[in-house]
Amino acid sequence: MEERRGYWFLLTGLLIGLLLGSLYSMVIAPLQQVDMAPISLSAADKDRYRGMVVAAYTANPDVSRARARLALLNDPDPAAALMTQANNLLAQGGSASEARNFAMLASAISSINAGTPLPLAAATPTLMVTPDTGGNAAGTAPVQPTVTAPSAPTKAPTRAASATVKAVATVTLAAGVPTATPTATPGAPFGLKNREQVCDATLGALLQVQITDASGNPVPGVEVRVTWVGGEDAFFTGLKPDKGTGYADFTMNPDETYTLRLTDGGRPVTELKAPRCTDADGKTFAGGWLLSFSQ
Amino acid sequence: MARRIFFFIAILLGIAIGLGIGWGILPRLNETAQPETLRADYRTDYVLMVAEAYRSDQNASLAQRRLAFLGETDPVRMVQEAIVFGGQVGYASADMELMLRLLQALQNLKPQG
Repeated sequence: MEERRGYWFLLTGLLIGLLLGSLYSMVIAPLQQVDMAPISLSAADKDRYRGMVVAAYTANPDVSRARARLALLNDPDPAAALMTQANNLLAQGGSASEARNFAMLASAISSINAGTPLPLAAATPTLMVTPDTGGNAAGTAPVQPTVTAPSAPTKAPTRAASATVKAVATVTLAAGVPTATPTATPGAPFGLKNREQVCDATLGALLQVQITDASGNPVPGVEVRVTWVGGEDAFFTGLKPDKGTGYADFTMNPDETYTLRLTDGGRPVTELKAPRCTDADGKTFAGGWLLSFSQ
Repeated sequence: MARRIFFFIAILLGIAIGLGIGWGILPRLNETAQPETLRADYRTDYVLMVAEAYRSDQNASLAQRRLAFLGETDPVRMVQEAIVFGGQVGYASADMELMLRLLQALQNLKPQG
């Protein structure tokens, strides 16, 4: 009996210690998060961070810089993450132009990943070493940082993990260098060049759109609107870069008749209805359309 | 006497386990970081992104809202810290200028709002 009591007092001591240790480490002096990386952000905060990358890219279309920033989030496929966020944005009734910006960056990144040369510029940004301005460029700011021209784009960061950020910070596009983002020839509207019935049971009633510019290059970020009796939907080219940056698709309801219109101009395509197709066994199924637009 | 010594050792062991749970195990279970805990280089790059966007839209209020992502610190102070850090690690002067312009815009915005 005395032996058992001995064990109990040990357990009591352990519990008292555990209580004291937990109280100290969780209440009195809890661990504070410091020096965290974007990869540790919550999904919602990652979305906001990604949105900021897109906003910065829209203002300064430097795809290498945007790609390096997105790499900090460690998405398995940054372009796919952008596409998903663009789709979510549209689904939640968000700004179409913002979703378009997401699509543009997704397309630009996919183009580089696929090694596709971009039509209007080199994929690699030009490095510019800007001479020291000699201090305060804004004139009235209270902070007088010493701005030194970087000798190389990958100056040693404070820690190894921040190498990407440093590379981002010191690479700038030279003034006048065309952007790495493929864009359509300004002004010219898109016209329907080909309307092809697609009888493929695996695709079903898929309305596929291919858009190219006057040079035949695929154009990402073009908003496509489909309307039907009692409904409307919008989608963008470039959200499925594996099928081409000028590609977009929409699944039709076989019972509906659609009108398709590009918001960048051109005449609407009317009377789009899923065609009836027959497979090798004589079974009928709803087919789709492939619409090719060009400037 | 021996019982007291063992009791004291048990308390110390309990404290060690408690500290291990509070400082070692629980933080790993909840690894989600708040944006305000981002390291200085990431914060600075975020401020630079806001400055890049500001150059295009010239909307200081929007820039202020975007900076709020990094926490409740005064946005002017955030940009000042980013400028200082950028200067220390050798940001390109074009980037520094963007942040200085943003700083100026936020300082002009502050008295009104």
